[in-house]
Amino acid sequence: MTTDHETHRENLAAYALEALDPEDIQALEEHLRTCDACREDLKAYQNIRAGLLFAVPAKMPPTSLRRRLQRQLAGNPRPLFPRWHWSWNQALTAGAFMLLIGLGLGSIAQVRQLQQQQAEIENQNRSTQTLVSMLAYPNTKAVRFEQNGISGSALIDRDRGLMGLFVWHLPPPPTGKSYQVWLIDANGDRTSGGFILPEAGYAFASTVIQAPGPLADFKGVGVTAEPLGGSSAPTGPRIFGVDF
Amino acid sequence: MYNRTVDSTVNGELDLIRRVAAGDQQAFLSLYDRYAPQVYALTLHILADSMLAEEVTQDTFIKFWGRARQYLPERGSFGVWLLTIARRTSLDRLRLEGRRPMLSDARDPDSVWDGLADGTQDTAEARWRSLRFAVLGLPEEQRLVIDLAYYRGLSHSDIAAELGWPLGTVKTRIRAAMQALRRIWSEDDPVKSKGDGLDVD
Repeated sequence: MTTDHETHRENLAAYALEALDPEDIQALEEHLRTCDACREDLKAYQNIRAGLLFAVPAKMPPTSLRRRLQRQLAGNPRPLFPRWHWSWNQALTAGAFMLLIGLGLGSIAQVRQLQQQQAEIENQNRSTQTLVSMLAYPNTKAVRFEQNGISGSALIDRDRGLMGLFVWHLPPPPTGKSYQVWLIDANGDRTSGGFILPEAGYAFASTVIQAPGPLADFKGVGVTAEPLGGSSAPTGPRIFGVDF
Repeated sequence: MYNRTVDSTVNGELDLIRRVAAGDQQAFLSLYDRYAPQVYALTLHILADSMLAEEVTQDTFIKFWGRARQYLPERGSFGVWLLTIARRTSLDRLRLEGRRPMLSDARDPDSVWDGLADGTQDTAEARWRSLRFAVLGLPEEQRLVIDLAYYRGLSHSDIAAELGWPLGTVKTRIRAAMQALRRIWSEDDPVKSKGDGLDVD
């Protein structure tokens, strides 16, 4: 048993509680692969972690919550989740199945549309994974905003030059338009940060923006309605903005 | 007799989960009625705001409705799976709100840990509920670090910064608390050698 082993063993309890600092996690996980004693300890701590979930005294939620859920289920046939909650297998199987139908009909346009949908699913999946990682990262800063009936949060990770945008109640863009995100620097110059696409039937939209340079160079973002495919500079009305 | 009762409860629950996966809303509501008080209590404990707790409880059950197929009984109990979703959804919400831990609650652990468990059911989950008493028996500084780490999602360093304690002190207290709980858990285990093999990640 080495000093390293003792150091890792000291960290096991926090690891089981998901409270270990990110920089210590990788080393501990590598140690766990080769240390039976630590794996045994971890298993015991994981039992405690499960127990802690039940250690809060039960409390009845308001009865209105059950009614809301019933209404929500009645009004939304399964699945209630956006497409990006599909597993890769489900998304690819569905994509392949639909592709065959499209080929059978001989419709190239249909094939293209399906490929686009699949690409969107993949993009959304990647965005979701990135957003989840950002949420778990301790230096991520959250900024809330509310304008013109649109509200949400921006997650800002300056270390990685990443920004996640969560938006509620973003209406569908006007016909022939899409919502384009602009990073705004200290001089007021705008750089395109991509698009945010509200899905039909969902009041929620999200996207991840990778800044072309350090996020410190930018003071905020704005979203405008632009022609499909986007513009090189904002031309449409501002829908909402977030100051960092 | 005991095993038969537990098996029948578990099998009944598995049947309900399979029905939910197939889109049965009545089965969903049966499981909601069974678990909503525990889910709501956990979200309320984490968020310390009844409105947010309601929203997150709703989100948790909607996630269950959409992901019932992903529950794998061989990896752990349904209750642990569902409450793990509730905990993580609550912590995500806390971070989204940009809120720091509610230290007033955390410094008065008795107020949030108080209350009696339903100890009449002789099941694994009832035994987990009894862990509350073990937590209550911890020294206050140990309860505090458990609360901040597990129910507020803070890391070692976050806790040290929040409380103004040295990082080493935080590590020592978390470990001491978990070791104490482990000891009590082990002493209380009717089948000491049998692990639950829980893996809910």
